[in-house]
Amino acid sequence: MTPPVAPSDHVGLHADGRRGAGIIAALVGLGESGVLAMVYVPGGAPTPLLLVHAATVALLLLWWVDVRRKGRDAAIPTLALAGSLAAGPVGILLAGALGCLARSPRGDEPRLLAAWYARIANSISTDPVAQLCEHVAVGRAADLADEPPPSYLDAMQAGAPSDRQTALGIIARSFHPEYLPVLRAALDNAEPATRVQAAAVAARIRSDLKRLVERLIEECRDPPLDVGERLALASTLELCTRSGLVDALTARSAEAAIDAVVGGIGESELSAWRAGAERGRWRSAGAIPDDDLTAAARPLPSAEWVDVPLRVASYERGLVRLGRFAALRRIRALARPTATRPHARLRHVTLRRTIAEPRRE
Amino acid sequence: MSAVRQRADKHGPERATDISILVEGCYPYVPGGVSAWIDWLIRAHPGLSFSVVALWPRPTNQQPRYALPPNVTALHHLYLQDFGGLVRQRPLPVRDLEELATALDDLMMIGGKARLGELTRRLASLRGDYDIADLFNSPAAWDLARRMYHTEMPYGSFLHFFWAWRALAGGLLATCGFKLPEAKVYHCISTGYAGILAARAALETGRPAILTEHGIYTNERRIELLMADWVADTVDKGHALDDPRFDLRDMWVKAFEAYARTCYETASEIVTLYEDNQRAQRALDAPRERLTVIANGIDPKRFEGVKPPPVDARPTMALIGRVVSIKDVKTFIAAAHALKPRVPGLRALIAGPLDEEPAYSAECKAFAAELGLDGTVEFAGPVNVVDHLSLIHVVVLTSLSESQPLVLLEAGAAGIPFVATNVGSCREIIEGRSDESPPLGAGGYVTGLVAPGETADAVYRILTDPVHRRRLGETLRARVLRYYSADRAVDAYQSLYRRHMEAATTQTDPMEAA
Repeated sequence: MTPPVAPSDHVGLHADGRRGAGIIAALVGLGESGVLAMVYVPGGAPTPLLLVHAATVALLLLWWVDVRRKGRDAAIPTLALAGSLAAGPVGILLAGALGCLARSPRGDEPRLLAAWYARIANSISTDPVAQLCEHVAVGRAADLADEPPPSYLDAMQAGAPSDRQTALGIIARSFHPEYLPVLRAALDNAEPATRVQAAAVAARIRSDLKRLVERLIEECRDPPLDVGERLALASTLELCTRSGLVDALTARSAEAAIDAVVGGIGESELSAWRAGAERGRWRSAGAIPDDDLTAAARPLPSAEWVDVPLRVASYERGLVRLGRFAALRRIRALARPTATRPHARLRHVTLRRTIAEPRRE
Repeated sequence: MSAVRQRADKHGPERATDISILVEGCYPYVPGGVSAWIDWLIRAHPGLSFSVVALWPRPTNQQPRYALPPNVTALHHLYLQDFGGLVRQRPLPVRDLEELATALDDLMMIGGKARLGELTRRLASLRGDYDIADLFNSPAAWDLARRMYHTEMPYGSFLHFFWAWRALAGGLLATCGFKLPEAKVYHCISTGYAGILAARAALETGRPAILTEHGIYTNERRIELLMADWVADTVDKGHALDDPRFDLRDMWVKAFEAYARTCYETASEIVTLYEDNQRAQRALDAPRERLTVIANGIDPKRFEGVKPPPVDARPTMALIGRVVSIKDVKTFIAAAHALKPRVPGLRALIAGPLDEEPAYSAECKAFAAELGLDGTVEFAGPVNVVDHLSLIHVVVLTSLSESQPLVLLEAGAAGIPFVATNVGSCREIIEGRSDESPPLGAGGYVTGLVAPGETADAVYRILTDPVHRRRLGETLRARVLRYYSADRAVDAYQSLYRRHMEAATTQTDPMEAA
C-alpha cells in the first residue's frame, strides 16, 4: 500500500494518554505537597512522613515499570519519578501540569501512524490505482468483474442528453476510429443540440481522421504478413470510409487499398486464421484453461476449431455440471455480442490497436 | 479587477438611456454574426437611445469594427478576468465568510433569481468594509475557494479547482460589482455573464430585462468545455457516462447552466430566432409563457428584380458563404462530383470570401481539382449576391452549424429553392413552422450533415424538374415574405421595447419582489 505521508507532528512524540497520566501525577504531587506541609507543621513527626514520601516514590517507580511493560507512553511517569526524586512534590506537580497541558490526540492519528509504519516497514502491498497502472503499463487488463460501460451507440440512440454530451466529449478528446459509427449516429440524431455538438466534434476530428486514413492507406501499400493484422488494417480503414467523414477522393483510395489488402489473402489462409484467432481469443482472455478447451472439444467429431460457439456451449454445460458458476459468469460476459461489450471497458486505454477479431455475422 | 476598471467611452453626456444592450465578446469589436445584428437593431430604432456594455475577458487593443450609431450614448466595458494584485485586508469574520461561500456556491452551481438576490445582498452588506473587487484578491477569497473546494470536490486536485474557481467566481464577482448604467430596459444578447448582469439589473433596478439568444449559449459552452484540452480531468471516470463524481468540466458546465437558469428566471421575455432553440431553453427551466420567437428578417425589395435563369443557362448549384470548415464546403464539392455524370453541363458555384481560413480554401481547391471538377466547380470569391442569384437554379448550404442563415432568406426572397443541412432554423424556413397557418409546403430539401449523397439527390431533383423547381421557389418566397421580412422583425422589437418600457414605469421595489 502507498499510504499518505503523515505530517511530521503526527509522527514524532504524540500525546496519546498523556492527559490521564498527567492527572495521576498531579494528584500524587498534591499528596506529596500535603506530606511536605506536614513536615513543616510545628510538632509534626518527620520520620513517618518521610516514609510516606519514600512510599510515594516507590509507587511512582511501580507505575513507571508498569507503563513500560505495557508498551504505553512512559513520558509522564518518567518525568514524575525524576521530578519527585529531584525536587520532591514540586517536581511531581510540574510533571502533572505538563501532562495536563499536552494537547489531545487527533482521532485519525492511529490510522495515519499505521500508514506511516506500513510505509517505513517497506510493505509490499500496492494500492488499487497503482495496481491498475501497472496492468496498463504491462499490457491491457480487462476488468471482467466490473460492469461494462454503456454502449455509446445506445446512448446516442436512446440515452439521456447529458450522456450523449459526455460521450461526444470523450470522442473529441480521445478520438479513435471505432467511435466513428457513434459520431455518425450523433450527426443524424433527432435532437438539434446533439447534432450541433456532433458537428463540432466532427469538425475537430476531421483533420486527425484524414491523416489517419492517409497513414493507413500508406500501410496498405506494404501490408503486414500476418493475416490478422492485415484484416485489422482493412477493418479500421473501412470504418473510416463508412463514416462519411472522409472526402470522396480519399474514400476511393481507401476502398482500393482495402481491396488490395483483403484480396491478397487466400481462402485457406483465412480459415486457418479464423480458427486460430477464435481459439487464441478465448484462451488469451483466460476464460477457458487450455486443458478444458481440449476436453470441451473431445466429444465433438472434429478436433479442429471450426465451430467455436458449439465448443463454448459444451464447456458451459460442463461448468454448470461442476457448479463452477463464477467461471460460467466470466464466459457469459465474454460471449456477449460485441456491440454490448465495447472496447471501452478497457479503462485507462484511450488509443489502442484494433484487436484482431473476426467479424460476427 | 474588472469592476474597478470599468470604463465608459461616452459619446455625449452620460444619462439614462431607453435601452442598455449587454453583450459578451462581440459588438462592436468582432464583425459579422451577432455584432451585425446588434448594429442593425440599434440603427432600426433611431427614436430610442442606447447604451452598450461590452463584456470582455480583459482589456485589449482591438479597434471597434462598427462605428457606434448616433443613438448610442455610451459604451461601457466590463472586464471579467482582469485581476489586480494581492490586496491585504483583514480577514472576513467566519460567519460572513461561510454565508458568502454558501451564496456564491449556490449561485454558481444551482442558479436562480433568489440565489442571485442572496449573493448581491451578502456582497452589499460587506460593501462598507470591503470593496468587492478587492475582496477577490484578498485572503478572504482564498478561504472562500477552500470552503467551496471542500463542499464540491474534496477528492479532486485543489490546484486545478482553484484556477477554475478563480476564473468562474472572478467573472461572477466582477459582474456583481459592476456599476450598472441607467436604462429603462436591459437587453442581453446571450446568457452567461451578460445574462447575470441583466438579471442583476432587473433585481436591483426593477427595470425589465429581456434576453435574445441567437444560438444557445449554454449548449455552445457545454460542447466547448467537454472537448477542451485545457480543462484538466482530475477525477478518472474512464469511459463511464454516468459517473456521478463531480469534476472540473462538470463545474464549468454547471456554472454556465446556473447562469442561464438565473437569466431565464429573471428575464421578462426570452426571445430566440427559431422554435427549435426553445427546447434547450425549456430544459433549463425557462418559463414557457415568456418564450418568444422573433426571426431575423431581410429587405425583400432588394430581390424583386431577380429573374429566373434563362432556359439555356447551365444548370447551376451554388454555395453562397465564407469558405471555412464550419460550412463544410468539401461536402458541397463531393455532391457536385456525384452529380456531374447525372447532370450534363453542371456548374457548382462557390461564392464567398476565401481568405478567412486560407489553408481550408486551398484544400477545397485541391480537392475539386483532384476530383476532376475544374470546369464544374468555380470559386468566385466575395460577390454581390443579388447580381448572381439570377444565374442560380438552386442554392445549397452544407454547413455543420448555423443559426438563421441570411442567405437562405435571400435566396427565398428571390424565389430560388434551397437545399440545406438540418442545422439551426433551416428546416423551419424550408418546411415551415409547426404553427404555420395555412401551411405553405416545402421550399426545398433538408439533408443530413456531412451527407454528400443526400445533397446530390436533392439537387438532382430540383435541377432536372423545372416545374418542381418553380413550385419550391414560389413556396419559399411566400414564406420569406410572410415571416422573414426586416420590417416584421423591426416591428416585433419595437413592440417588445415599448411594452417593457411601459412596464418599467410601473415597477415598484425590485429587491422586495426578488
